Amino acid sequence: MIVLKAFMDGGTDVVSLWNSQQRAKVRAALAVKMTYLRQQNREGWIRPHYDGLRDGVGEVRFKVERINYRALGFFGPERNEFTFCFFATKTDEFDPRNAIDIAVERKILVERDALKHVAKLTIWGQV
Amino acid sequence: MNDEFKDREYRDYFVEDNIRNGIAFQIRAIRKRQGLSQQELAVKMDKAQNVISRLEDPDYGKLTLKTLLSLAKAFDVGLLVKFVSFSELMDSIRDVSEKALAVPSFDEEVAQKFFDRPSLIEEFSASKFANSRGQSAERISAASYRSALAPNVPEALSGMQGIALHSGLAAGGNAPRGAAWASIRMANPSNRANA
Repeated sequence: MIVLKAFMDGGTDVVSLWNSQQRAKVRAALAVKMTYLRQQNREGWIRPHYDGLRDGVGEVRFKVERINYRALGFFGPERNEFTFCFFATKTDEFDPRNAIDIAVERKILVERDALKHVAKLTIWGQV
Repeated sequence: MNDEFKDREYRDYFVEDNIRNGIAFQIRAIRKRQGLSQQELAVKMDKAQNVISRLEDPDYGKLTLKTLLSLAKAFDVGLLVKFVSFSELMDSIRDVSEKALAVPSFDEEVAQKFFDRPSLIEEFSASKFANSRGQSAERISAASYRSALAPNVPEALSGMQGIALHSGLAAGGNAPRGAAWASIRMANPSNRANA
């Protein structure tokens, strides 16, 4: 079981922020994906559901109406935790193109001061 | 149930996506439990490997009842397709860990029952022996049953002192199908404590 957390961006966690900007369909797709994924052990986070990118950052992958959504994050700051850092879409390239850079920068901030930059999520069956 | 479900579009898509993800995660979990590669499962289903790969990908697999039945047959597990209330749906995904999704095959279930109740081996064997003679199990005398079985299964089955299951199976691991029966036949009563 993985505990899901989110990067705090200007007082709001990035998952809540992203959710508030998406259609119901897209929110439901991520909700289902994370309901299953969070209950797998870390070895179960593999393609097609998850893939590693670089510098310790990876992407949760899901698709809605031919759009590839990517929820970027990393395992940490504590053992058996995963922290969402940034959301993007992807065709040939990420949109925005610097999505991985932003996620890596946020990962570094979290590693410096987790208390300041991370919040635990209470959605997707997680209490 | 959270407030999101008040939104019709949300819950419609949740149902659809839950089927896609649930099936994808469960195929992989059962395949792993049975120690099968995608290629090996494909052979059992008379399909190409990339078909299995797509079935394990919720974004691609084209699910049909025929495909699900074919998978159930290949895995030798049951298949349940039914409409449920949303609260039942939510209950059903409370535990979707790999352990919960990787249900045992028929052979594994039978073997597990024998492991839990060794006396079942005698009942089963007597019944099988009687059937082979066209008689009911009740009418077979213990003596004729034991003497008929004796050459092949001297102690483990007639002595009923215990059984040892295939170690991988007993540990809920990746024992191949068929291993359970083979192991029961070959079991030595003294091995049970170590199983």
